[in-house]
Amino acid sequence: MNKEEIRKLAAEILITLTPEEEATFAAEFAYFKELAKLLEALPNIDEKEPMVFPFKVTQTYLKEDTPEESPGAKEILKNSKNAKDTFVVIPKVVK
Amino acid sequence: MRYLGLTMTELHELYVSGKATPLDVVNEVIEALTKDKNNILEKTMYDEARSMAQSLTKVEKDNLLWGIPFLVKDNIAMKGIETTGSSNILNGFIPLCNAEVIDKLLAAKAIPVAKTTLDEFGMGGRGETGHKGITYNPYGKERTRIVGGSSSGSASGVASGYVPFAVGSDTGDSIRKPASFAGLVGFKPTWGEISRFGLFAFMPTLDHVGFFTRSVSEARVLFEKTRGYDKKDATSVMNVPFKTEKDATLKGKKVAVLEPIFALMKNKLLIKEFHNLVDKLRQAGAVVDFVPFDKDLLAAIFPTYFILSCAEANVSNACLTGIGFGNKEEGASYEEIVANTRGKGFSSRIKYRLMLGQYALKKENRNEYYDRAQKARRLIVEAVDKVLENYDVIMLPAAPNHAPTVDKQSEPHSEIENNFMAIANFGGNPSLTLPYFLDEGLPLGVNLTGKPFDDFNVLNIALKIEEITGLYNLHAGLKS
Amino acid sequence: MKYEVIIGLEIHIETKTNTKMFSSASSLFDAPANSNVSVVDMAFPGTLPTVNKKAVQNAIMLGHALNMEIDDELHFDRKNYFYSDLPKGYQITQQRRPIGSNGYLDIYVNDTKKRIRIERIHMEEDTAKQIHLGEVTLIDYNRAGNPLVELVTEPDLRSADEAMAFVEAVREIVTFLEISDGKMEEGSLRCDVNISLRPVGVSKFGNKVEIKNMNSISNIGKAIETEIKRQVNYLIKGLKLKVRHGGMTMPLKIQLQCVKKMKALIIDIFLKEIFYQFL
Repeated sequence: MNKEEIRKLAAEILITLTPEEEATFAAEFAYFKELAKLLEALPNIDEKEPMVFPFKVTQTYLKEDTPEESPGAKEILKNSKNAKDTFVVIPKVVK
Repeated sequence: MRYLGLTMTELHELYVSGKATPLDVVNEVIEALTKDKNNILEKTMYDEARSMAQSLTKVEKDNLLWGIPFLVKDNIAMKGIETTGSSNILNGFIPLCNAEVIDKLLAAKAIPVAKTTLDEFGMGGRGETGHKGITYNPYGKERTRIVGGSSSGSASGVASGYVPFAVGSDTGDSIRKPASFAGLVGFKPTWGEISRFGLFAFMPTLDHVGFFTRSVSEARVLFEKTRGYDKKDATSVMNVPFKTEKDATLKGKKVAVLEPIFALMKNKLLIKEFHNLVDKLRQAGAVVDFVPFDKDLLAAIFPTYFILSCAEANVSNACLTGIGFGNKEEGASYEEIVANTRGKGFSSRIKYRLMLGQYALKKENRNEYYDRAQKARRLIVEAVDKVLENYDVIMLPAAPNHAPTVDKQSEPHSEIENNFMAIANFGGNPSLTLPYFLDEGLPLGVNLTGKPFDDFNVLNIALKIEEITGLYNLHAGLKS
Repeated sequence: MKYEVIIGLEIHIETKTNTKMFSSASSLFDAPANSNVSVVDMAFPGTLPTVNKKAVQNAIMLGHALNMEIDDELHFDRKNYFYSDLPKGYQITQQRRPIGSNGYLDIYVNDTKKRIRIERIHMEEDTAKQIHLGEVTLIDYNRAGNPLVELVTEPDLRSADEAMAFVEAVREIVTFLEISDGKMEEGSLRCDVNISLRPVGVSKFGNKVEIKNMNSISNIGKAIETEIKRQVNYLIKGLKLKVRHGGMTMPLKIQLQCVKKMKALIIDIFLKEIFYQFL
């Protein structure tokens, strides 16, 4: 992967990378590709159904529509460094 | 040092006989923790622990957890207590509610004393990558050996004898590997048996809550007290009838050793001791067979785990932006704030994994990476299920060696023997590591993996092995 | 050259429930800012979604009213992207297995009945509300997680009047079934229009343009008209039809009354398993 692609990938998940990290990532990626090759080796792998859960989950729990009390604005926002009064405030978002 | 290095049962007897109070014990635990040199602690809750201990005045004779102090891995939320996942991005984050497992332990009157270090957000196997640095193993020369990960602090703390148990989590082997390096019982029950509500998600369908103890029966007590349906976790199991056996016995039990994995072991003493154990199991009436397993599937275990966990870690950690919560950095726009926050708050390791995960999920790559890994998961689980059709458990050394020194990296091309326990995460199987011998004073564990929902069978077999080895309540020696 | 207008609609309906799609916070978002927000809605680490039974019921009822095939399993997917109104960094939706598929709705424009095929309806969660004030944006998470049903038509509509009639018909259905307020001006019914033009006789669809966030049915009509004018230099003959808003016919009313009665039975009969399938 070249530097441009690495920067683009990082930008997609909104993280900044130092130049050292950019350099190191190429090696990480090469290793990742090698790992994927080991999957390719499995016979008829692509015909298999993907497995999402560890086993067949057979329960049908649906939550009742009964409201529970919310912590309230002050409490729920107390972990936000962007909170002002009862809102989270950020620089104007452009769509 | 009267109360350290004791089991739950021993502490319980002291409480029942009136020879000690929870406050006596908690005070000693706190004193020992403040002197700990292995870098095991995140946020401590000493005042809260003392306060809770003081409030426990009426001993509950039938409750083994009453007044028992414990440690909690810092990726498990506790109300009002800073919980960071051992990552700088969550420095100062204070959850508004407890994880369900914590609520259950509190209801049983057990006393949480401190949060412990982990590999950042669970992504690591040596216990070196949390934001506080390396967590050391109390075994061996002081501060020279790793304790494994990601539940490093919890394992180290229990192995030091400070507390009888700690809560951990296991996504690939994060309880069962450090248990091996620290001479502990590390138990990961069937997926869904213990609610995941409050466990910081890493790879949700591989994530499990579990425990470190110094004896199998204590692991069983904890399992019984914390398992069960939780309406806050829709994947927690309900109405699954469990089979228990009255008395644990090895007679008629069938044990499979995956021969191709065992063949990779190089430590001669480990091999000898394992064969000794096999002989003893056979003498006790168990059938122990060395069975084949597809080599390509074995080679696929680590890639499957790594690809899936990077991809899911990417998604699970997408909420960490610094906007609604978290340790934010400045920025002139939403994107800048988030990118700076994540760029500064995540370590390099995490960033690489998230990026690899993002790569694996992209439309153009999915077939080769994420989707294929999910397909490989099915192949591996089917192969494991096939073995377990005819056996009660799969038994293997939990690690190819004792805990390495900090500077010793893994052997090249040793992914299989170092990561095979992930099969119990792929299939949600109950899996337990317990110590089976000491190599020049350094412990090594054996791992048992059973059928989904057959947890009590696994615990019973483990109990009998513990009787055979006599390695009960091991700890590294309490240093004053 | 004669052109025909190809229109497909994506309608988001806020369904009436007491709680949110995936959490137990009250879904009343017209409340003081951030007062109906749970730890799940804020995406605090360790929190998990749980599926709202009433929201599922609403979606199934709508599916029946629209003659759709109802999936017997509940599947959800995660749609990943970063945006300031999306706390989890993903939206839980139903991409691969929508709750309802292959349905239709008959509309009436000028006494002519036309069947509009409906590709899918699926459940998803709403995003937080953002208020732009000068140099800043204020985020109110009350709305984050509220239950939505998204309805996607096949591109069967051929005029602004047909589009308006369709939206009106949907509005009447959801209000009659009491699964939504259906108030476009309040945002409980939102409509995006996909519109493209192609020469008459050609089967391939032209490039489509998406018009989003219209807040009334008449504005839908106006926006479509404007867009058509924008896309061609000359008027398409036959567009200026007199409109009779789609009122409910007897057969539809009876069908809907049956759907209402079935409400209680719906969950047991139709649902087998829930999967949180990860994208």
